Amino acid sequence: MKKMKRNLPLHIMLLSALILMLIYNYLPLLGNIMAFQKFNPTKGFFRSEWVGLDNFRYVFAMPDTLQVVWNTFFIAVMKLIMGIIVPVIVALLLNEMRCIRYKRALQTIVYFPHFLSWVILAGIMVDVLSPSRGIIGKAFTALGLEAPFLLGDANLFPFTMVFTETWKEFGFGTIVYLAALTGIDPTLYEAAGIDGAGRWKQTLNITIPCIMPIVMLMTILAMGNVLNAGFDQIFNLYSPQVYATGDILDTLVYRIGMEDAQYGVATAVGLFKSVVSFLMLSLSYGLAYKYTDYRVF
Amino acid sequence: MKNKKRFLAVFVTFLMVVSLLYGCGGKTNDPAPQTSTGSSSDASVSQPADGGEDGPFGKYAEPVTISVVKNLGQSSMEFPEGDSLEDNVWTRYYEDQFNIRFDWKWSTTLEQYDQKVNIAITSGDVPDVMKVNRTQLKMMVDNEQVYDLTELVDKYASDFTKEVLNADDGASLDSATFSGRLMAIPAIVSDLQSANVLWIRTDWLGNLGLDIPETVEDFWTVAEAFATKDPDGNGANDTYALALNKDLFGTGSVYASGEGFFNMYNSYPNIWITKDGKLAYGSIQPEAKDALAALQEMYAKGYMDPEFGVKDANKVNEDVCAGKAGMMFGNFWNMAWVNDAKVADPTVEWVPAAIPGNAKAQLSFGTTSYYVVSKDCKYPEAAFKLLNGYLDKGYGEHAEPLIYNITPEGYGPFDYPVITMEPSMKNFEAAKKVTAALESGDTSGLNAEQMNYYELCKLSLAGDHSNNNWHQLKMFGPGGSLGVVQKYWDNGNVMPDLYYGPPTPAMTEKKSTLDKLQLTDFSVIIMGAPVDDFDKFVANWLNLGGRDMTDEVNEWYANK
Amino acid sequence: MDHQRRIRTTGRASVGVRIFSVFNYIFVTLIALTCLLPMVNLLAISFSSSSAVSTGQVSFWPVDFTLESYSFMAGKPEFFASMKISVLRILLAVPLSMIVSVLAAYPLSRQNHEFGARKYYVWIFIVPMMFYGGLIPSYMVVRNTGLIDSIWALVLPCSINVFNIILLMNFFRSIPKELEEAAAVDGAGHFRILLQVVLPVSTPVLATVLLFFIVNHWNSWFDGLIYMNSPSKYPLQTYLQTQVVNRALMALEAMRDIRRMGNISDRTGKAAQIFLAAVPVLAVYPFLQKYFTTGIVMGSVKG
Repeated sequence: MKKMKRNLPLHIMLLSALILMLIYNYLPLLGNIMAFQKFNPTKGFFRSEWVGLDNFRYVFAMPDTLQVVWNTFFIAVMKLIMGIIVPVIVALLLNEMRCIRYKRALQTIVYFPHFLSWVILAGIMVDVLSPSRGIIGKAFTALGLEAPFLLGDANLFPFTMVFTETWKEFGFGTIVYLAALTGIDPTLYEAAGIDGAGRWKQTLNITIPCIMPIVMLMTILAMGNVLNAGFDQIFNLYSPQVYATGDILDTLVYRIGMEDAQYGVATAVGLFKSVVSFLMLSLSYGLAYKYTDYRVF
Repeated sequence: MKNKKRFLAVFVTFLMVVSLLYGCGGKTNDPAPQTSTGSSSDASVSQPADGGEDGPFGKYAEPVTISVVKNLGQSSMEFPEGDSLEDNVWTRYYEDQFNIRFDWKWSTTLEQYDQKVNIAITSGDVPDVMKVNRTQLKMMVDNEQVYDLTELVDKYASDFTKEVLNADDGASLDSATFSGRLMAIPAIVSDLQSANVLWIRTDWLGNLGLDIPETVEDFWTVAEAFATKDPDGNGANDTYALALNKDLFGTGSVYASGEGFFNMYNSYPNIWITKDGKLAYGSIQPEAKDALAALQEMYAKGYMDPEFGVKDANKVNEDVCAGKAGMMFGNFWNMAWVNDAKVADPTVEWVPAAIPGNAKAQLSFGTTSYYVVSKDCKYPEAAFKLLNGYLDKGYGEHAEPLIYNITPEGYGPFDYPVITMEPSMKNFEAAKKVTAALESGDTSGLNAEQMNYYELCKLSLAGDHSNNNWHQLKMFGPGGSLGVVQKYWDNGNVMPDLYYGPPTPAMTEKKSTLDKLQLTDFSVIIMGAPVDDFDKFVANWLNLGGRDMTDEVNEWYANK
Repeated sequence: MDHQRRIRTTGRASVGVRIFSVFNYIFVTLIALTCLLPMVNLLAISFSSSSAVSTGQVSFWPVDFTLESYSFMAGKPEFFASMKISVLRILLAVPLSMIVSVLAAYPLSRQNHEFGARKYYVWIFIVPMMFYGGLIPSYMVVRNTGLIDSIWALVLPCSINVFNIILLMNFFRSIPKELEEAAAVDGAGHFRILLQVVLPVSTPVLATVLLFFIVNHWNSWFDGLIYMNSPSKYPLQTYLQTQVVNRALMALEAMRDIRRMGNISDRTGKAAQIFLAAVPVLAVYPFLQKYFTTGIVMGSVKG
């Protein structure tokens, strides 16, 4: 009883967020019911025709759905891994810099590409990655090698997507880790320094363990993205010759929704993605809790 | 990022809370027209001939309000000082003439318009009058959201309106007709405007001593010379013959398109043509295989950019402007994108020519937009009145183009009203007259709009190519692209799309899959896969839904 | 100033460390430079003549230097009007989001045994991260809460960002319990602990989350498009979307407007607008970044 009274303010604190979430996040969720309907706005939600799992069956009966799911998964997981590793490494490297002003300048610069949309970047990428005119192509030619067609070769395309996405977002990703690094207790280093540990050892034994929780957090949260391969990027960069490896769920849905206006089907795919993401997130959360006793939420 | 996700969500979801929060019963408005019964108040307004009380130009006794939305075009709309979307020459005219006022529910620019319309349709927020595309029209008809105009058109469309709407022998009206009922007013556009022409660098031809190609053999000769004989004389092997974009055909491909090339080989991809008295899909005919084999050869011989497969129309345009390519197929307006290059280097000269080999140019169905009237609209006949007034004041008997079309200051009131339409052959008429005037110097036959084109062409002829003057010359001037297209028509060299009904069930379900299949297989063949893979494509296409589509289309054709 | 740095440099700087250091500077500098290139490209385009741009002459240095696109923009009141709306949006939305997020993160940062209902609340926050209702239902809700065409439509629906709440929560959890316990013994309630104990040591995470909110709100464009009824009410990024048209998407029907097609190849103007729109956030970032380092305070209380 006493505890309840003591905790009453906690409930009150949560109230504003709960109300906002209920209205703007939960109410719209009801829209997912469309995935099981042949929806008609004039008939509304109760009188629209129920079609059970037809919309799902339709998607999986399409000739290349399995390939598309695999492409999506492959690209998304690669991006996910690179999206954790690269920002952590860059944050650690930045953290080793002693000239504070220079470090801050670099931090600001790596943050730039995040602000440019893929519509704009795609135009620049086609030039930069061109085998004949691009920087990479010229480097290969100078070495006497055949330049790879990074955007036009179906075998390379997924890796090109991973690479360019990582390049665009790693700077923004470092923010969280840099904030975590600045939060490390300096007395720990002090103690280690007295014990004679060099900088490499300090990094290994203090820095990395200290930012591990935030790395874990970001990893677990990222697991929810296993089917988000990046619509804007791929839509603006793919081409018919790389459809085999580059077509993803979102571009598929875009075509179904945009060209055929089949919203029930599109909703079904969206719901499928949500469920898979939710399962992955729960799984990674559970595993992390079980094996490392680390609790994210 | 989060917002990009929402952008995707347009296609990923729908509603349903609609019904929860708003209930299912639509408003049951009585759609009976409440037009004026007494005509005393009409005396002051100039009445066109057939302006009965309840006719095409009849005035409502009491002011009525129509809720509307507006597509503002490319960026935003310019108004004369003091005017706005809500208050301009047209809104004042409509109020005087018909007692019609407007409630502008929302307005947005071209790119965003479709999305806003999708939201309006699916959330049930439909205004009284709205412009929609073909897919949206089909959705609204399926949803029973539109007013059946069948009974209204005879009574309320003026003679001139009927003439304009029937300019294509009723094909556009047919396309808006579902089970025998007219469900929308088609925003009629001539399908002639979709024909490809061959754009070619005549300054390069001059450097090499060649002529504009007339036969397919000529085309290959020029292609080889453009790719290998240094047509720009810069001493470097840095030019290609043919510019082509990665989408090959369709809406993304009105510039540097593949259609003209296919037409050269008597192939008509993506449209329905007749074969043995039945409709057949152009992309799967044997002629398409010939065209693909030819394109493959162009590619293999280096007459095309080896990287064309990743370049969309914008990107190709950069190469074209940079003087990398000397030929491309495309629409009559394509020089609009090249005008800057002409300004930068006036020695560059592009000329439109007919597709070589006396080929038939394929036409895709021109009318893509429709004006729908909401089922709940109280004054559905007002849509026709707005259109009658628009055509009458803009192009008809009482036309005052300097006030209602283009003002002397350069404003374009023609774009202000909610329903806009122009006689479908207008651009071709203008080209004929402007060309004649430029040749004779006699401008007396030109109307205000044509006069404007004439003056811009004159400026370009005098060497001032800026502000798109040169582009106007390339369309309307002597030897211009509109003239080339007109000639297709005069010589019967056109291949129209014979299916213009609403999307069939199989199209709705399979078209996007089939389009992807076609694009992938065609691209791969062009870049070197065995040409016989085309036969596999045809088999796949038929099995994956193409056969159903063909059957449905033929059923429609038989019942026409 | 930089406490941590000073301590760490007390270790002997061996040859290996120096070599690493030099390599590190070069490596990170090179990476950073690649990030600059697109921005430099945009800037170069914005300062070049449009004919030089469309013939592909401009890469990283302006050709035919001109200020035309900027003076053109100065003559466009819409640009600045929409910028005002964006600023207003941030002034309303960011404080609200911060308050709501902090208030939500604090209870969630309590231990389960201490705050039993926590484990249920947590799931309420997790579900919206994965499931979303989609555009139309969201639109319906905003319409039925009466926000259409109002600035609040840009503020309320996106005021909750679970990711940011989790960041705050995790940081709060890492604050030494002794501080809070001491305050609790003094009779402080949860509100007082949050205000007087937790927040003062949470500057790094507050600065991070603040930055994320500002960036999110500044960059959003789609909500402006669907919730606002006329372009005059669009925030800056939405306005830019309407200006930076993807020409390839133009259908034949749009060609009706051939009289006014001159504008479409205006790449220089677009580049100038994109650049100007990114400037404010880039300016805010270093300012907030400075506060990241004050996180040092947190560690010092422990010692």
